[in-house]
Amino acid sequence: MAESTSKRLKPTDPEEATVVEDRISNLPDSLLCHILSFLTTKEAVVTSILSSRWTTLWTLVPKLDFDSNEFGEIFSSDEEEQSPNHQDQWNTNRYHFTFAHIVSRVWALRDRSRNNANPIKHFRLYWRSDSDPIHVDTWVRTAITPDLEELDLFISHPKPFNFPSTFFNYAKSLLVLKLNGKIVLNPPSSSFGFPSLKTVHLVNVRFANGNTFSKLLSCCPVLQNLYLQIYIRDRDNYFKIIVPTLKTLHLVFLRFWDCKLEINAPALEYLYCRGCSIEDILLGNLSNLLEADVTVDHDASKDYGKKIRDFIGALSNVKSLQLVSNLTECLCYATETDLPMFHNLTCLSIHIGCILWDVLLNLLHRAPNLAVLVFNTENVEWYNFDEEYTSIIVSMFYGDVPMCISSHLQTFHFKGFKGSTYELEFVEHILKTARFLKTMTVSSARMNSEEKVRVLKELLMFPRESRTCQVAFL
Amino acid sequence: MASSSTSVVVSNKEKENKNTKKVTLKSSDGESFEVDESVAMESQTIKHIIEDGHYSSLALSLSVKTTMASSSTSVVVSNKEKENKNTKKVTLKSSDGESFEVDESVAMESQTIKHIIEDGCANNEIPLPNVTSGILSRVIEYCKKHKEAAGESEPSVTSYTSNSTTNPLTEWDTEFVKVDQNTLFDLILAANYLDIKGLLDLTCKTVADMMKGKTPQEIRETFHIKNDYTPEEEAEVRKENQWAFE
Repeated sequence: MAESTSKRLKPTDPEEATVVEDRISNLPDSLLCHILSFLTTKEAVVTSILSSRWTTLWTLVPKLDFDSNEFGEIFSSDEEEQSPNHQDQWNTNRYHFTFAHIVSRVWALRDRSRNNANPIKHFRLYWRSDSDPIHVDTWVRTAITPDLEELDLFISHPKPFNFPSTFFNYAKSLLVLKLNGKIVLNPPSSSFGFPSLKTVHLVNVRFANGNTFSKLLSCCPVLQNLYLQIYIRDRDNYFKIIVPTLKTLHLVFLRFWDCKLEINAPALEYLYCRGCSIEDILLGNLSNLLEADVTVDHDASKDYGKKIRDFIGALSNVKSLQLVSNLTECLCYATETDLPMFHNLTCLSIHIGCILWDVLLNLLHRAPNLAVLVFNTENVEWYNFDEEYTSIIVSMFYGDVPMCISSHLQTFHFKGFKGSTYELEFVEHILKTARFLKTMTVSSARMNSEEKVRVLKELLMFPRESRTCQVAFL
Repeated sequence: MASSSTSVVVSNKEKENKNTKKVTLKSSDGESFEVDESVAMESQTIKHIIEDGHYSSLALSLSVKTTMASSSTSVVVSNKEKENKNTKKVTLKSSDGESFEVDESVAMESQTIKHIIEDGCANNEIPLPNVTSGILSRVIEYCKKHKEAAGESEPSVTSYTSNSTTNPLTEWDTEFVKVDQNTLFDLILAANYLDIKGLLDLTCKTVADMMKGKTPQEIRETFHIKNDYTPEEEAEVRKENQWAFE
């Protein structure tokens, strides 16, 4: 077999006047493998046909990536499912490949070439089927070795898949774990640990019992990123996320029952939270939090007073805050709520479900360094109390103009603009008082272009306190 | 003298003086003494620090008995790096002889360079015989941009104010790799040699993306790969991996 396929055509070659070199084949094996590692296994195997240099390169890639979507029509897991009818649709000379065949073949050919000296470090499997997951079980067990660094499974099957518990004791080098699907986690009662595991994504997985989740977390001493999307099926669930090293937390609860949530993660920098009730959530020390995108469920008839204060208070150090409708409603309904000061807040995005201008005003007063304000009223039904709102807005701006507006605000974006009187008033007042405003953007999904032009004209007529301010309509 | 001596820090003023190399020694009570380097090297401790070539802010605690030229008691060596607006520079020299002065922190994006500096072998000019000036300048551009981005602590406001979720750095990266193939492969080799993970991943992924969605023949054409299989050999390879060719 030829060693190198570098080819330099002579300038005098009648077919090509330019020198054309095959630089890619001249790269060392390690670099070619690195390139192939960004392809799926199927794409990598295809390269075997490029030239003799490439015949076995794909076997050097320490990554297997199988996606049943790639195999379309020919995909099925069991030989029995291939009926004669099915075969007639295809050229009878072609062999019918089942997904199981393909994966097994790839494992086998890899081993043949390298005598197990090239362990899999990254195993990704996306498997959607109704047939028996016995093969998946085999492959997962084969992949679980002390060399495995990243495991990414998506399993879609009518019945739950029992994740091999050998995993917990054997996959010591694991850095990233992603599990998605009806996967049942049942760790052994003996102690185990993942000394390098930094990222965990668990979507729709099932925990064998109430302690499983906590046990799993406690065995990850360097965990930094946790992404959790869980169906709460049982009563009396209590999720305690006590992880001193955690930096990012993304939580989505889909609930049939109430679920208590406790977050104790002093190193946390980013928090995304959906689906928990304000009554059931307990936030610990979050003094390092930079960004929060949160909402909580609530019962509109209740006043949450202290709970809201504690919740918002825990977020008071953030630089960037996104409040979604339910939470702002909570704030609106809370009567005696003393909002904390948000000294570090430079970017606020507030999605208003129902608007109480004095709540907004209160919030703005508490955020003296705010530079970016995004006001989102999309999907909100307004009651036509233009007059009422107008007078509140007027008092808002003729009284104590919030310091952030007069001294810091640089970017203001009003989403969901409808062109009503008080909206225009609001924008007008911002333009009048925001001395350092650089961009004012108004966007609307609902207005037609005629209306947009009319509104834009009006907006452009408003006097601007800031000479460098640009007004735009999206 | 045993007195209160605590830390010893040496500042390097060599570059500023033309003839005699001088060093500045700063005593614990803040007084500075500029002396000839040769004089300062009477102190083995200071001699070793100077010979190491790079001055970190390590403080050596020792009690100094000194008979230095001046009447200094305990000496405190201050790290002059800090006085130079907090930037220490290194010079990188390409294979074709061009020199590039960069902030040390930027150069340390390369693990290779980082090790050279930490081993004290730098002497402030690091030759890179495997990298031409054209490629080196691009690599430096990449490192600078990524170092800057890492230093920014402001959360990105683009996710709120626009509909796109692309990170501005990702957009920059995408533009950065819009180069001809030769440059791209040179960048891969340089990133590998200099051990800059981000750049290596970016460039390799770019090549991988050029292969995606193409038939083998299209891939060959893109990269000018000559098919050296005999028809029988090719058929055999195709058969072995038939499933991938469907």
